Amino acid sequence: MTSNILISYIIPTIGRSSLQVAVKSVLEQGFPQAEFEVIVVNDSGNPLLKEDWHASPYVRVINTHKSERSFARNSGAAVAQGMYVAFLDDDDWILPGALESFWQLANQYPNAAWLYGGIRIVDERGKALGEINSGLTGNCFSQIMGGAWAPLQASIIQSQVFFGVGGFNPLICGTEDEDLCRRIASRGDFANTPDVVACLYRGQTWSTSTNYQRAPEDTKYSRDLILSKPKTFQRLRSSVDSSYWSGRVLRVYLSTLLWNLRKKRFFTALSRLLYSSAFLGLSIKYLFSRDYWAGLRADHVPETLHFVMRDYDRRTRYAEIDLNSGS
Amino acid sequence: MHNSTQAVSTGTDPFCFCSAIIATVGRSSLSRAVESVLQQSIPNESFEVLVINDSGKPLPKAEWQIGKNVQIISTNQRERSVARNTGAAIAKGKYLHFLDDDDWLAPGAYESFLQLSQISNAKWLYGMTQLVDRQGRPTIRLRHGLKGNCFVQAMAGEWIPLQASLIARKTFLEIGGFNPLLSGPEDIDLLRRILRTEDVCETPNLVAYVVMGGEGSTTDYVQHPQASRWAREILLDSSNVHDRMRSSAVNSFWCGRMLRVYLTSAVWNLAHRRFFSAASRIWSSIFTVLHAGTGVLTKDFWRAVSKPYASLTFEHGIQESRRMT
Repeated sequence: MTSNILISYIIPTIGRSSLQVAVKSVLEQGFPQAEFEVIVVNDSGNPLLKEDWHASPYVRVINTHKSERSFARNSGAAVAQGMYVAFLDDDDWILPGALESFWQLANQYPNAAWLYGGIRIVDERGKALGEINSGLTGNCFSQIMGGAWAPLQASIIQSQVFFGVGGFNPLICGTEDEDLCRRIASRGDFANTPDVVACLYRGQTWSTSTNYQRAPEDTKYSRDLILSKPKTFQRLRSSVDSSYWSGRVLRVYLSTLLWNLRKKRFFTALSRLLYSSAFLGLSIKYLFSRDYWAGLRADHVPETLHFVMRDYDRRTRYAEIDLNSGS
Repeated sequence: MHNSTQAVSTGTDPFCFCSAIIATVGRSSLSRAVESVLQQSIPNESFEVLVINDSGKPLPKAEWQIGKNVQIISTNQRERSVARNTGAAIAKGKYLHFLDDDDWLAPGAYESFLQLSQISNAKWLYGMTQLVDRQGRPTIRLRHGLKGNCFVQAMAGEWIPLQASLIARKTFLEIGGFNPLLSGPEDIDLLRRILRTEDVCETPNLVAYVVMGGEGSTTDYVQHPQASRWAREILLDSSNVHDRMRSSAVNSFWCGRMLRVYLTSAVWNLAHRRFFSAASRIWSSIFTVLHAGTGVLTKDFWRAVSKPYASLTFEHGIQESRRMT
């Protein structure tokens, strides 16, 4: 089907009232050069509240039936007509000018598979808790595998590539966006705009429908599946551009080695050991660099949500202590 | 700019037994498929028909489109697995029934499935299939005779047509639906992934007519063997696979088939320079031989090891049709 639509914004919802903010943030972009559509995937199992955006010719609603987020997102992408697909949750929104930034980026890097910008984390009062933009471009497979973050909410993805990797994997729960990012990074390049394009809500009243209990295990499973694919090692190697990321890649191999041992997958563990040794041999020039060991040791990399939320939690805890001592 | 807004209501049916999902590339035989579902004898409220139009063009007007329990969803030429997964996400039924637009249901099929669902907890229900050629002439009847845990049978080439099957929606969603990266063997892959943890149950009644033949087919048969092997490798890497195969290998023939699964996989992995995976398969092969015990001394065991992959149901069907002609 031929269409001139540049971006299809897919917003799965479980019927939260914040959906209207998400939809309107796209509808009110006011940038006629880039055609867009909004596909709201109502996975709540109930009718949506009637809002004025229902009448917009740019919006389509499809009703899935409590099929979980990955199925809902994939269904939205299946009906989408845009050259790029973008995914927003129903409690996130894009900022004015986002569409223009993406339009410029898409024109500048027509071959990039994943295009993204900065993201602002806000609390319930709309106060910014921090802004994140890792600024990675080109082949950043080792960085993404090593824990760097290209936020899904602040990204657009080439439709062809999205379907080429099979879309979201419904078996990965909680970190399905990271998994998608890794699979796309394993075969396509990234492009970045320094503009902050989206807002991610995280505050004290933030709630989620995601089963985060499964997330730590699922993310390891996702990483292991990707490492099992052919030509992964070569792509990882060619994307390492510093001692820090060299250390991170070694950490990836070592942690999957341990994971496979725990799962009693001894032959796969052996394979990871072999690749770890090969990588160690190739990165021998970095061995005396501090950054290398910092990369190998760190649980999380800078410019990720973890650090913003850690600071926020600390501040909230101190504020509570102050309040308690004041009373 | 483009499409208008669709209806905003979903609502949930108190009990929808089954959702028929018909992915179409716009073939004229679609009407026959839809009408064969609409004419089922169970009450209209207990099933729905979801036509997933993946042709990229509007469907020609037809009478069935005004049916209360019919929904048309247009996907954007995304391939069959994506279209079917979309249908499954939208479906409200307890069971999913995937029908192609050139196949059709036998009268009374849903009635048979309804009765079967009342006596069985199996997540994959199926019945007898009548294969027909492109001219609509009956060729082979498929009576599978599979029941309970049939994992090794599925891994060793047995196949149950989706058109003659009902799959529990919850199970389908839990295992992640069809793998969109497979073109051709996605139905066999789905069967294997479901059988890794769940059982099948059969009704002896004829439930579906399936058109077989390369001409006019939308399946990518060129990519088929390689994709099928890759899917099997992913499955063999999953947990619980060896135990599940072992418990379904009920005699020396199926122990032999199990050994063949591992040996062919070992060879495939060696050919693809996946040496550790190959070593793992050889290790599993040794365990399989130990499990077979004295069964390795039987002719059946070695016949199963040496025989290339093939569906026994197909072979029986061909023999039966030869006898009749």
